[in-house]
Amino acid sequence: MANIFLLAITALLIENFVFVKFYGICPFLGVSQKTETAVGMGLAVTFTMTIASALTWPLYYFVLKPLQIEYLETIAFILLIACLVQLIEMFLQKAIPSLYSALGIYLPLITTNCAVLGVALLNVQNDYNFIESVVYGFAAGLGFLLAIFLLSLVRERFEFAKIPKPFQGVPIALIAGGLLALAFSGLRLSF
Amino acid sequence: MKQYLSLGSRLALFVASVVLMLSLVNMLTRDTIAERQRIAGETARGELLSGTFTEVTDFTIPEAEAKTVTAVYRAEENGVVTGYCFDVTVKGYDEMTMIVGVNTDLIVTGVKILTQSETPGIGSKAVDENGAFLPQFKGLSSRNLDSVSIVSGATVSSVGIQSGVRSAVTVCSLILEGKGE
Amino acid sequence: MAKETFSVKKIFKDGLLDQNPIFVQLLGMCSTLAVSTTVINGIGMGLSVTFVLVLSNLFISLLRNYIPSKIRIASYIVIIAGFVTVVDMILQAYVPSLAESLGLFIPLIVVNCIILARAESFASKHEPLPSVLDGLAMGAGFTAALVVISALRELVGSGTLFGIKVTPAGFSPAVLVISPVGGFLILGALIALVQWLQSRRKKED
Repeated sequence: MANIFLLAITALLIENFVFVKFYGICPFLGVSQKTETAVGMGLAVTFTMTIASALTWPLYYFVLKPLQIEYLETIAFILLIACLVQLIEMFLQKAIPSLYSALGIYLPLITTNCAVLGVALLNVQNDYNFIESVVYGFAAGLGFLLAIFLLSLVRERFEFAKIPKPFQGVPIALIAGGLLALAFSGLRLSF
Repeated sequence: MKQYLSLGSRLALFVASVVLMLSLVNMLTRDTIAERQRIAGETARGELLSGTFTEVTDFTIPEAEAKTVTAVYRAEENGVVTGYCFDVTVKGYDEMTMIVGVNTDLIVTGVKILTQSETPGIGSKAVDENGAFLPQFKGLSSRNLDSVSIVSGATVSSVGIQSGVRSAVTVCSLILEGKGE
Repeated sequence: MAKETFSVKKIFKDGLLDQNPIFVQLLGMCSTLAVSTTVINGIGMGLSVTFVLVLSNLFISLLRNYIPSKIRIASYIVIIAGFVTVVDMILQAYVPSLAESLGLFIPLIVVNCIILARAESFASKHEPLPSVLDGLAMGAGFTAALVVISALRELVGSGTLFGIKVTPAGFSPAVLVISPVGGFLILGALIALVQWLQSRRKKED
């Protein structure tokens, strides 16, 4: 139990997927102008990462490994993730139309978010068992949510700030991200 | 429905051809990769102990250490056992694999990191072979393993390595005891 | 079908400068930040991406009339994932040290936006030859940008280039620059520099 807790804290704060491991930088920069959409994206990614961890684990240990075709893991995982995102999209459209229209355009982007494929590959690389994989996927997703939420708070303030022209847009977002990463690395150094 | 079937079969065809290509490339590279890993292990072991190495198969690693110590190799020189090398897997923030050499007096002869993915500039200090941390282990025994100074800012990685070395020494003492009986 | 005309010069100028994948299109940021700690990693990543880009562009262009538009993204991903796995296996077999230091970012080339973006916006609309050239040009632009960033980070952060010490003995490296924090700051500053140069050029025009 203590192990699971440590794993979750590590994925969420100490080895934050965005600030330390650099997974999911594209949506982190692309969908963080407004807090509302940033949180929506973060929630959708967290959900997908949790389910993807839960599905890729049996795929690897019950199909790829017994058949000795581990080298197909990348292609098998990305196909599974693409199908999963498609299903989530169809489900949301029918069941929760309001959430669907809010997230609409961001949903297909989740397939190409490297945090999702990254967590699936990391689970296998680090030999996590099923429970650990799911917890790791969920916590890493929350880490992404936290990162994109914090950055969106900073970026909303930029609207009122006087930023030199060349720095407007992505450069200042990267620098804000760097300063947030600095705060997170402080957390890490204290362990 | 018919449309979905045709789309599905088209996609299945693409997947099948890609899988075919990959299995071909895998056949061509598989042996090279295995051979390369074997040589990397041999070379690393050769730097820790002298002699020729054979994998120990008649000893079962106790369950408490089996997750950490994954393989044991015996080093022999002129028919005399000089020590053992242990393949050790530990968790820093991510998984690390390393080889620990221990001689028959239960003295650590060195630690070599084989694979790691610690964050550059932070955890990487603990796994640098020419750094301040790893060389400390050489010459220690189970009694003074705690005397190594942990790298500040890379505590998790260094403690992980330290516990891996301790597991290797523990398993080594079990092997040597088994021999005495 | 009429032979389409294209300008080799324009394709390469786009890839290296006007549409540089990292500095102008701002794509592939994850791997850029993660691997640019040493020049060797930067070049290795750049060449791997170029290899995948050229082959996936070629095959997607060849198959562009056989890929139904409804499943095109899935088909592209399958083709790209195939070539990425090939690169992965080749690196593991013949350049193990590079495979080791690039780690998971090799399989993650699959979701590198540059490759999917070129498939969707170029290869699916053009003939094989210009598509291959586009892959080469974009790959070269990606590699060049990575070399610039990683040379800067390695020089300031470790005092080395290609792993060889080049700074005078008294120089103490700023480790922050190769840490994740430095990655964000340096890339932000470099993109700002590019945007400044662009706006100056526009004024002159």
